[in-house]
Parts: sequence; C-alpha cells; structure tokens
Amino acid sequence: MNQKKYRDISRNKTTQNLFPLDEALGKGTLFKNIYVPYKVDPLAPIPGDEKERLLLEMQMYALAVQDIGLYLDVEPNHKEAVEIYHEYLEKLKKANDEYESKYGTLTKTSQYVNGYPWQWDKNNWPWMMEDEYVGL
Amino acid sequence: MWAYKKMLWFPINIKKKNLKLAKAIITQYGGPYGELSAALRYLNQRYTMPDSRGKALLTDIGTEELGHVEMICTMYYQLTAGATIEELKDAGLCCNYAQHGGEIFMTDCNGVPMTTANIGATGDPLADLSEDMAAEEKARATYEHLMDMTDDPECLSVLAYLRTRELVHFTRFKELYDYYKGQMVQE
Repeated sequence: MNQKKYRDISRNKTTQNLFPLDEALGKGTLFKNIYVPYKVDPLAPIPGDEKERLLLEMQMYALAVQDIGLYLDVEPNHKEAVEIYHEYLEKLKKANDEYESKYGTLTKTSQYVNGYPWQWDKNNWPWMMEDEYVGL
Repeated sequence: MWAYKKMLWFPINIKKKNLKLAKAIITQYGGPYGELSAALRYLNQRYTMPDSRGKALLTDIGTEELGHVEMICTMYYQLTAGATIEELKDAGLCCNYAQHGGEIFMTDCNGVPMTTANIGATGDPLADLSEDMAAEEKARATYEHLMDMTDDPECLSVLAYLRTRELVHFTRFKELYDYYKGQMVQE
C-alpha cells in the first residue's frame, strides 16, 4: 500500500496543526488549516464556577472527538488520528463521569440515573437560563 | 437509534434580551439554510451512499446538526425570555405570538414554515454531496449576516462557533466528493 501523506494531523506536529483543546472549543474546530475567523477570533471560553468548568471540559473533549471523528470518516486508515481519537475519548469519559457524579445524570442510561425519586428530570435542561426554576 | 445527552455542544448564556435578533436567528432553525434542514438532508441522504465513508460522514454530520438545532432554539429561547406582548409587537413578532404564543416554531425569519421541498435527494452521491457543500456555504454566509447584526459577545461567541462548524463540514464533504470522483476516474 502506498504511504499516504496526512497533512491535517501528525503527533510530532500536533501543536502546529491543531489548536489547543480549550481554544479549539472557542473557535469551533481543532483544525488550523480549516479555520478562518470572521468578525471575532474567539479564545477559550472562561468558566464561571466549578460546574461550568467541568461542563466546558466535557464540551472541549466532545468537540475534539467529533472533529477527529469526522476526519476519520474520510481518512479511516490514518492510524495516528485513530490513536488521538481514543486519547480524547478516554478524557471525555472521565470528565463526563466526574460531572455526573457531582451534578446529576446527563443520559438515561448513565450509572448516576439510579436512585429514588426519579433522577432524570432533576437537573436543568440545557436551554434553560442559569437562575431559571427547574420545576417539580 | 439515537441517544439524547442533556448538554449543549457549546455553552450558551445569553442574558440580554434581543427580540429583533431572535426573529432573525430563527431562520437557522426553520429557514432554507437552517440547521434542521441540514440535519434532515444528511440523515436522508446517508442510506444510499455508496460506501461506509459516506454513510458514516452523513450520519455523523446529520447527528451533529441535530445538536445545532438545539443550540439555535436555546439562543431564541434565551433572547426572548421574559418578553412582554408590547415588546414582541415592536420586534415584529406579533404574528408569531398569535400563532404560537411563546413557543418556538420552525420558520424562516419571515415566518414562512420550514419546507423539505428544496432538499436535494438525487440518489447520486456526487450531486448530493455538491448540494451539501453548497448548503454548508449558505449556512456559513447566513451566520456571517447574523454576526453583522450583533455586538453582544454572548451571542457572537455562539454564532462564531456554529459558523466554524460549517467550514469543517464543508471541508469533509469536499474531501468525500473528491474521493468519490477519484474512484470514478480510476474505474
């Protein structure tokens, strides 16, 4: 098989090709070669408190996994990218676990959905404002 | 099967009410270049893609777009929170209130309900992917127009994020398009 040259991701050149993860979330992509700013050039979002910090961490890893995942859909034989994907996926799972253990379940199949009364509806829905009443 | 996760792709904390911007932003929910239209387009096209790359890419981008639908609705919800009827009337949202009360509905910014009539489903991967690339560019342009109309950093950060996702999706669709085209030339 011909050795294909991959320009988008390379471990040695990760800092050259990819944004740092927190900055990538602000900008909307990991990939420097795709990103072109318009009107603003956002940096990393700044968390208000511990809950927000953990949520940002999850969003950061979720974007990394999504972004590299889409890349892998069209470049499925890029071994290094698969490794980086799994690295970020592990971090996403860890951040997710820490968030749910502290602030409640995010999916109905999470281990943290256990308990009585019913836990699924107990934390805020994502579209609600910070200070909005959750309801009964 | 789809699984719902109770979080947004990107943090949205809009504290400043802005009904006129909300009225414009709704087009990215139910307008011709909106997120819902994008999600349905890709999720519809994926079944007959010629190989796993196409099926995977359209499934994954279509699914991500569903999350963007939720982000657009969140922006609208927060931008209109606590609006009085007088304020809705001033912003040109009186018809919206008459038909839907405070509920969010999938229309473009003129109130025209979403239609699937302009979604291309040709059964031809090159034709479909060309349309998908165009859809991403049209959505990018729309996000830039929306960004032109606000200086609220809480709105700009979200719109900038969503705009970049269009750049990424365009790039991946283009790569898949070039790959399929290359395959055809080889054959």
